[in-house]
Amino acid sequence: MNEIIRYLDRNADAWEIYCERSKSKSISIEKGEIKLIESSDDVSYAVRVIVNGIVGFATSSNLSIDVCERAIKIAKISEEKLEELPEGKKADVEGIYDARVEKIDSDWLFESAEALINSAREVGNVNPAQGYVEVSVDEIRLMNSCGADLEEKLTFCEAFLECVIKDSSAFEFDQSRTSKLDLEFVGRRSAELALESLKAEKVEGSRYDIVLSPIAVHELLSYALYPAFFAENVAKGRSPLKELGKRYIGEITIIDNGAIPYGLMSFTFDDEGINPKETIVFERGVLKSYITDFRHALEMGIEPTGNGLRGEDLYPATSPTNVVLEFDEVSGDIEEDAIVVHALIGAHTSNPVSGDFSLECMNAFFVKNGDRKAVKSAMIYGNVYELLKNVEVFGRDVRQIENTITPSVRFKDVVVSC
Amino acid sequence: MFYDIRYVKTKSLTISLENGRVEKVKCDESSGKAFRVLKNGFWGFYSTSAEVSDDEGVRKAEGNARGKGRSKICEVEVRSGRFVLKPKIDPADISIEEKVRLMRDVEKALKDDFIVSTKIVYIENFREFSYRDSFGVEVYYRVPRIGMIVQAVAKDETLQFYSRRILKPAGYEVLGDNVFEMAEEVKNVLRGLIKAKSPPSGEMNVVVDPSLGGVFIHEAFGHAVEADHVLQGSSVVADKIGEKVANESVNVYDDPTLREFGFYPFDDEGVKAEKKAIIENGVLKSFLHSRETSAMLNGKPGNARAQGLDFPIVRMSNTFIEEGDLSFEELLEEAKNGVYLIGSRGGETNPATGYFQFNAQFGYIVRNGELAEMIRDVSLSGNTLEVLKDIKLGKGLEFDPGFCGKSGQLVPVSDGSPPALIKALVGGA
Repeated sequence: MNEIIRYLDRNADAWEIYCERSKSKSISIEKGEIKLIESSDDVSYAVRVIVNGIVGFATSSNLSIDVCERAIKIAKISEEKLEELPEGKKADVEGIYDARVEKIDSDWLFESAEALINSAREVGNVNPAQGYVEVSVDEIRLMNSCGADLEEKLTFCEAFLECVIKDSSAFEFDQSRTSKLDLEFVGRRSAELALESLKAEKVEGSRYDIVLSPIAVHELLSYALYPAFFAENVAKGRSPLKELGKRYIGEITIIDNGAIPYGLMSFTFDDEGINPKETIVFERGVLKSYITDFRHALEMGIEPTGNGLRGEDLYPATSPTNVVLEFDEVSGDIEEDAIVVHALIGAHTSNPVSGDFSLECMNAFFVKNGDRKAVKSAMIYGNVYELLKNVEVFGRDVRQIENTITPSVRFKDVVVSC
Repeated sequence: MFYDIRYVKTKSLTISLENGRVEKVKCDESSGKAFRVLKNGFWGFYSTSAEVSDDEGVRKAEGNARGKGRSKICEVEVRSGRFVLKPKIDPADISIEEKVRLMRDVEKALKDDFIVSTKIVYIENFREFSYRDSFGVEVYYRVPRIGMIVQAVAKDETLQFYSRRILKPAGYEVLGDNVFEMAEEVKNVLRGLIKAKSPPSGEMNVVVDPSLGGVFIHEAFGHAVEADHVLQGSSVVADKIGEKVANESVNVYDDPTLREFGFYPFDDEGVKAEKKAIIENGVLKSFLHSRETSAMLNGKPGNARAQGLDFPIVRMSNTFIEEGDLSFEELLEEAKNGVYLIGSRGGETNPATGYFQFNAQFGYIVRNGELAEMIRDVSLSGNTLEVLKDIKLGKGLEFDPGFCGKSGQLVPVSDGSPPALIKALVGGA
């Protein structure tokens, strides 16, 4: 390590070394039987340098002078401007590491998988077609020449099950920073939804009130809305959200906060060394702030928001952390006279620039006089900004799905094609 | 006990040119090993990007194989092989400066008053793969992939974006005049798209272009015939082998030997790649198989693929529907009234229900058998067991590349189709 730092000190004006060590274990279910146990130990390194105000970047599965040389070579042809790197600051965030996850063994995995299968079968004669329980421990280390030397450990656990009966299918999952997963819920709910979706019938194509479950809300917004409030996309003309202070949606408040205790996307520092914080993106429908990585914060002259995250390519880019949706009208009973949608098919094909979407509903039910009728093949169509002007009421079933924290949401007058 | 060992080494370079500035240049060199053990019908798997000996890796995988199950594995016919795809022009011989120069020229061709944002992405990647197993199978290959994505955003009353891409298992030679043609096309489509109307809605006649037709066959049928879904009891075509599932003009194949983006010489279980008939003359011929599903369901392996070091699962490669004999004008006449839809941002399917969704980038209204006004992007949906019954196929098979996601793993694929006429649910206003 010392030799590498000496090399970087000599050849770059500023540098950063990011290291991610990930250990994971998982067990897989196929047609109600346990089939496979997997484990992996992965390590990956990213080196970012600044030479004459220009960034160079390279990654590798091992840290060597070679990866540094490649980063420096890139800085000679790139035009990615950056003058400095974050000094590095951590926040105290509770509930993002659970030491018990490190000790999880194959017996625990077997018991969990069996609990998933049994919870599904207790509901009825369904096929627990495919599922898994996966646990992982990530160790992040971030060092840079501007003073950052940060470390953290994060744990993440997930259980997923898809149940099938005849030509009906449904999935559920639970994700947690701790080893406490609600396996009974995942097994039971996926089985119930698959059973309820049998004998689905077509409804007339028309405008309906629809209720999107937290899963469906996340699927839609993460593709059709979130990228539009990344500072970079605004600066590059790829977002309609050009004016801060302007009302773009209904009276909904949308907050990005990487410091929520037990948040699935919480951390003590983002992948560039910025401490997580609360950013109010929309306050009652009015655009208040963008979220951003470090580079575009400097470029646009705004405060970094702690949203510089690294995906599989380890390149730091803007990404939401925990996105919280809030609305004044809340009720425990929001499904009457509406089409209730559990999940969407094809959300990734939404248009992130215009906000237009047309998506197939999965496990949809038309609720009338308390009676739930399964709906066969329906598509919802619209524009996410128009849709978010027509929010009627939020449910009370708040949960976190990936990076979205939301209850079910009821929307007025959505076009449904059948 | 069965075991196998994969050694995967990749080298990649990605360059972005966004609104005139070179950025997000990423350069990666990674390697790692993955080990599988099958013992008492139960799989154990271990992978790592750290240093590990083969013995140690197999031991760790065996340590995970601690259950009892019904899994089996088949032997393979071709037990050894070596394939090196030597490109005509090795991208490593072209300087980064030269690559950037090409990107700048493409960007120039994109510029116009109504274009508010441009993005050109250059991608190159080398995959080196070694495989051996306890039956004595040993294969090796090295394959380069290269491509360019051209994207722009335009503004008038609405903000619209459109993109085209070329991705091939080849060298720098494939980036010729075609990248400039893509830029011209992106610009021309956007000129119309910013003034285009909302698409209609409901079930209707849809003429699809080859790119959308490819995504259609991938989503409508490709996933349902992946035999792991059959083993899970989650495919609507599980009991349909030998049955008529489409009209007689329909032939669908998966062919990893074609030099399209889904190309591979051996799959991730060391099986030599070969063309598979999925549907011939409207009859379902076979599923796509791994060595496990072929042992369990009596099929032919060769479609097990993995992203990086992940556990290989059944995947498509280059999946296509063979051309028919109708001209484009005849397809429009047959459609009479409906829509002609072009290009795709992908789709998704649930093989257990047969319902699938796929998205078109833009299109035109078809009125009285003729193309009328332009319409914006829209998605379509249909059901696997119904949608191929009335399909009508045109002339001119073309492939479109992309990445297909399944169980969290992305692999390069391509989908091919001629222009075709289908009936589908269009999700417009």
